[in-house]
Amino acid sequence: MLFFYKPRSIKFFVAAYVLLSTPLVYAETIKVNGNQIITKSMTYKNVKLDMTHGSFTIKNNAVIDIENSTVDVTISPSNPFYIYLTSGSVTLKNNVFNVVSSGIIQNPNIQSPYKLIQVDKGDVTITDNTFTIDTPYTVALFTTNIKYLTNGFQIQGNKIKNFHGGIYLANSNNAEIDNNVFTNVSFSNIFNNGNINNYHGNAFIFPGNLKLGNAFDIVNSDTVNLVDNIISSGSNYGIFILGSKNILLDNNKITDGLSYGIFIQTPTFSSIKNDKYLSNLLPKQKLNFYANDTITITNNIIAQNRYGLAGGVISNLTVEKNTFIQRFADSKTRQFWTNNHILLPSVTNLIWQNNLYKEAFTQEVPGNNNLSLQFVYFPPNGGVSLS
Amino acid sequence: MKIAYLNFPRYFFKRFLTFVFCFILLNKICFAETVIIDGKTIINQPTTYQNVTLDLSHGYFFVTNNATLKIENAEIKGIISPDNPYFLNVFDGDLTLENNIFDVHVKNIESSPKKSPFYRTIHIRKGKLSMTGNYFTIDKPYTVALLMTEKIPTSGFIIKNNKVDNFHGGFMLSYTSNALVSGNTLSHVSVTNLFTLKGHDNTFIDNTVLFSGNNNVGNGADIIDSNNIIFNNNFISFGSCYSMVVLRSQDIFIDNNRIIGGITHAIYITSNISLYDAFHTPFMILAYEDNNNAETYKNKNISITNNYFGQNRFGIAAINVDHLYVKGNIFIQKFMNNSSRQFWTNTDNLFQDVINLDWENNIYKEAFVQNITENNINGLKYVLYPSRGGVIL
Repeated sequence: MLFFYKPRSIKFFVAAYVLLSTPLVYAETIKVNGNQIITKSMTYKNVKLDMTHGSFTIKNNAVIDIENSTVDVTISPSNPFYIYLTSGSVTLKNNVFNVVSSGIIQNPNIQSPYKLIQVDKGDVTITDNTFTIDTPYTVALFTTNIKYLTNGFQIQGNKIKNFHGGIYLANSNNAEIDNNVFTNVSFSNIFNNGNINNYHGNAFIFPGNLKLGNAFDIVNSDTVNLVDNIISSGSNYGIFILGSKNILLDNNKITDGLSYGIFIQTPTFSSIKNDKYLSNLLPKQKLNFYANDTITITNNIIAQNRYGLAGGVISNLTVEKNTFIQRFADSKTRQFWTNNHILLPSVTNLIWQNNLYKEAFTQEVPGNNNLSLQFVYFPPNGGVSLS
Repeated sequence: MKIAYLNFPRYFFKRFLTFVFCFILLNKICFAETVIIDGKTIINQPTTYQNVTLDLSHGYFFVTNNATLKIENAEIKGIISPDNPYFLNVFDGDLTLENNIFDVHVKNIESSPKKSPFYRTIHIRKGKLSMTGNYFTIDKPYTVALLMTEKIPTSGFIIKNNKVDNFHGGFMLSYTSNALVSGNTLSHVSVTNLFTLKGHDNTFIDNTVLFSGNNNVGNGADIIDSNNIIFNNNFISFGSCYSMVVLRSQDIFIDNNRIIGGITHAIYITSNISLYDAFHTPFMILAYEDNNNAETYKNKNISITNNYFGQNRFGIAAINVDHLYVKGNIFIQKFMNNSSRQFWTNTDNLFQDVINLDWENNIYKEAFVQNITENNINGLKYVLYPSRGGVIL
């Protein structure tokens, strides 16, 4: 009997040993000191990475792959980034990043010089991670360098909390940015300067973090699709478009914002120079802006923002099957702030069809909802009249 | 010459076959076969309809004998009327609906927004249901429900990625367990949208409910006499009644939902709803009336975590709950003055007979103003929402 049981016991022992010694149970702690230059492929899986005094710089087309790990990072003037990709590839999957900001003064009004991940050239895949920083208005999450064209980034399923700048794509094409959740991210949550990029199913709570910043800034871009995103309580615009063409905004929900749900601005030198946010946000390299052209806004719900949709000079604007929900003190104000002569004064070839308006329910107690229990047609011009 | 002559029939035959093949293919694609269902059409053996148009103007399916009816990639159009009260009536059997378009027309039925629906598009008495990727629309609101079950236990329903517009009742699941309701979008649905009565282990995730109540009567979600219900990642907006009601239920997990712009409470937990609410809106759902045990039956183990409540008139109110856990939620509301804010955010006023309350890390923010002349002094800060005493800014 013993003879027959012995192999089983050995198997059991080996299995138990392997199981107990897996990194899941006793995750190995790896401490990285100083800036490590990665010139050949590195993989970290199921570990605890202590980056409180260290960073990675990836060169020579090297690959860094970090998966299923906990990463503690401190960003400070002496350790200003976590990963700097000069050429190569970064893959981050299923990690938890706990970032501490040290010695960095909070400044909500200017773009942070500190970045968790900074990319010049290479491939990026960032999926299903959680990124949290302890101090708001200090460190940006992810930026590219406009000097270099990047391509095909995949950033999906991440949770991003409290950063001062979310995903900043300058000169980056064919990106797929889906199903990320941005919470209390100040400055620009997503900055897009690039072509053929898709943003699908992202969610934003408090973009701007009650200070400054939009959920989306689409700047000097061609063929960008924003579909099924939810933007709540933005402290500036929900979606901002500047000098871009072939932009699709479909089936997004933009609610509770401080200002416009969607704003499309004419790209003039003076408008940028005189705007503190834009002058800080835009890359220092001169951009040759497109004229705003072929912008399609369909099936969106733009609700309980102060204003709905407005824009400057635009050619070929299609606005169809959107629902606007706002609340105004009186009929005159409502009619003025829903009048496209006021809101969209310089649009050539405007297609405005099947848009609805509903007065928001009151939040006041007491307060009546006489006007709120109806949907009315939002006319292409002249403003909304409720009876 | 000789070879070409011999090849002639072969070429001809090939071309003829190609022609026939293309003709059939085009016919299938461009001219889907129309099947007219006349009267009560009994399905008592496995039956499948694919890529057809089903005309239910004068008939409906009656599934019995534990048979399976499967309809895929079809267009289903027809009329619901007193003479033709359903499209699909499952007496005993299984129903699978995938990627269909339902275009329901109503005849001789009055719009009655304040009454429970009598007519329903899909009625299930006994059996299983799988419906995925369908689009349901109806031409007349406040008339016909989409889906109803009976007082016979059903289990294992899968209701995924459907779009439902304008019905008088959405997914009305009574006595149903282990259902997965996910990724659906319900717009302008009155009476109730996501509904579980005397059910257990049902999961509602990633659903979008727009304009629940359709500017009239109806909640976004009703959890009634149920237990072990998961309600996560849903988006409920601009409801003209409560966004969520929990009535006499246990072990309810409400996590990471966004409830926005509702006319009244975002979540209302109670052991008894009278036929008229505080706004004198009649609640005519029969389920509410079926509350014999209200005196003794408590809501128990209700967990409300990580939700975003934006610009509803009120946040959470609860009556008669044992173990209420409220953590990590964000409340955004707007009040005329401090006393009003403090009163309507005071759990002493909002909660009655709640024992074992855990209230942690909930945040309050005053909503940004929508009136042009007002300022946002109060709107630009977060404050801790206290467990008692109300919010003071």
